[in-house]
Amino acid sequence: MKCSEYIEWIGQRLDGSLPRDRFAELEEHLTVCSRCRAEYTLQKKIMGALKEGDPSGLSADFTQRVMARTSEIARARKRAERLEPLVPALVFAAAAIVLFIFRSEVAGVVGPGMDVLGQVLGGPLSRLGSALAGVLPATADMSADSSSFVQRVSQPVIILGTTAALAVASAVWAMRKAAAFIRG
Amino acid sequence: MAYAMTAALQMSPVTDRLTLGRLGWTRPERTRILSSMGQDVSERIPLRELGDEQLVVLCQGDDHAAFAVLVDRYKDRIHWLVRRMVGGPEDEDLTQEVFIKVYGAIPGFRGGSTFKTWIYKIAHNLCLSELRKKGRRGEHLSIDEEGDEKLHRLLPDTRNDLEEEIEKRDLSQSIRTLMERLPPHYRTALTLFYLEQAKYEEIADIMGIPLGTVKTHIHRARLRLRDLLLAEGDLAGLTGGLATDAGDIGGEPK
Repeated sequence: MKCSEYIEWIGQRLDGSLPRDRFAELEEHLTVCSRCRAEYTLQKKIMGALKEGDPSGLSADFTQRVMARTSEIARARKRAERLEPLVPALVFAAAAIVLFIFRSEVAGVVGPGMDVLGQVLGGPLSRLGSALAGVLPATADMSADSSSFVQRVSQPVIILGTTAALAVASAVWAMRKAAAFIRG
Repeated sequence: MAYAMTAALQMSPVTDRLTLGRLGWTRPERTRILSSMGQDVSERIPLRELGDEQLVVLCQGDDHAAFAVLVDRYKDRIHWLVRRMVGGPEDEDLTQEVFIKVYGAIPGFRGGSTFKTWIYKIAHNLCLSELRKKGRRGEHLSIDEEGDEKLHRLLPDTRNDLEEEIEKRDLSQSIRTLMERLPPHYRTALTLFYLEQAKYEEIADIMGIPLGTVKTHIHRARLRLRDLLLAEGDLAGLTGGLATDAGDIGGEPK
């Protein structure tokens, strides 16, 4: 076997990957071959050098600079977390504003539905009024024409009232979240 | 008392200032987390004495001082890997990017591997990505992996003092320089194995390659380094030429 082949074996022996049945042969060769002994020393020396950590060369304030950046990231993350609940509030408020601006168009679409609602609610309200009139005579006048109450209320007023309520509720919710965000 | 212990958990004025900010954690919270992990909190334990996994859990609870300890613990080793894989003047910036990535990903760390393996994997992937960019710009130069692996330069067989001569040479600087000429995956394998003392299995996990390939990389990389050292490094004067099966080079033992 040639020395050039032992170069590979020496490397494997130092790595710990040389099959055990080759140990004895390599050892025997090393006792008689000065060149391969030098080779063994060389490869061992290379391994030693590879294990040496050279001076890092990082700036002294490396950790501080990393932490400054992570703090910025953490703050941005917290801001995003606090803003998250604002999103449904803002969507809700926007929907209310759109509803308000296009109320006449919406009324045109919702109007027939309101008629049906009036007819459906008319019967039960009438019966409720009669029952109340029986129990409380004083309410008789109020309940007498309750059956037509829903139908008599102007549809734009219902739309306007609903949108106003939605807008106010959304605005209050959004303002509370915004205030909490600013305080936070 | 547990709270008294937490008063000692400070790294430096900088980290303390950061952690006492409005970043969503409190010292009693740190104590609670450590207690839940089975850590005895009856005595004062500096953060730097905690294990990686404990520090990671604290980081997941927004504890910035714990993250600062991890940065301190790994910055040099990650820098070595980055410098040996990528090199160049931007190695510090790239090392910083590794830690920023780690910070962003740490909430999702579930302990499938050790923290050490995980952080090296992030560093390795970031370096590969940087090397790809450099490759596109034509900056990346390294010798071809598919060179002749079997032909090695032989040491001369005529010098009796060869062993002593090699022994007394300081090869460290020369080896560091020559390493830059190895392909990136050879550099990574060598650095992880020798410098970072990672196991074969860990290197396979970090580099995403089979175990056998890791062993081959390490073996070939070291022999390639040896050949470069004899051809162009500090030992160039000692070389006896390329060994081949023909001729008398590398024949009988001397």
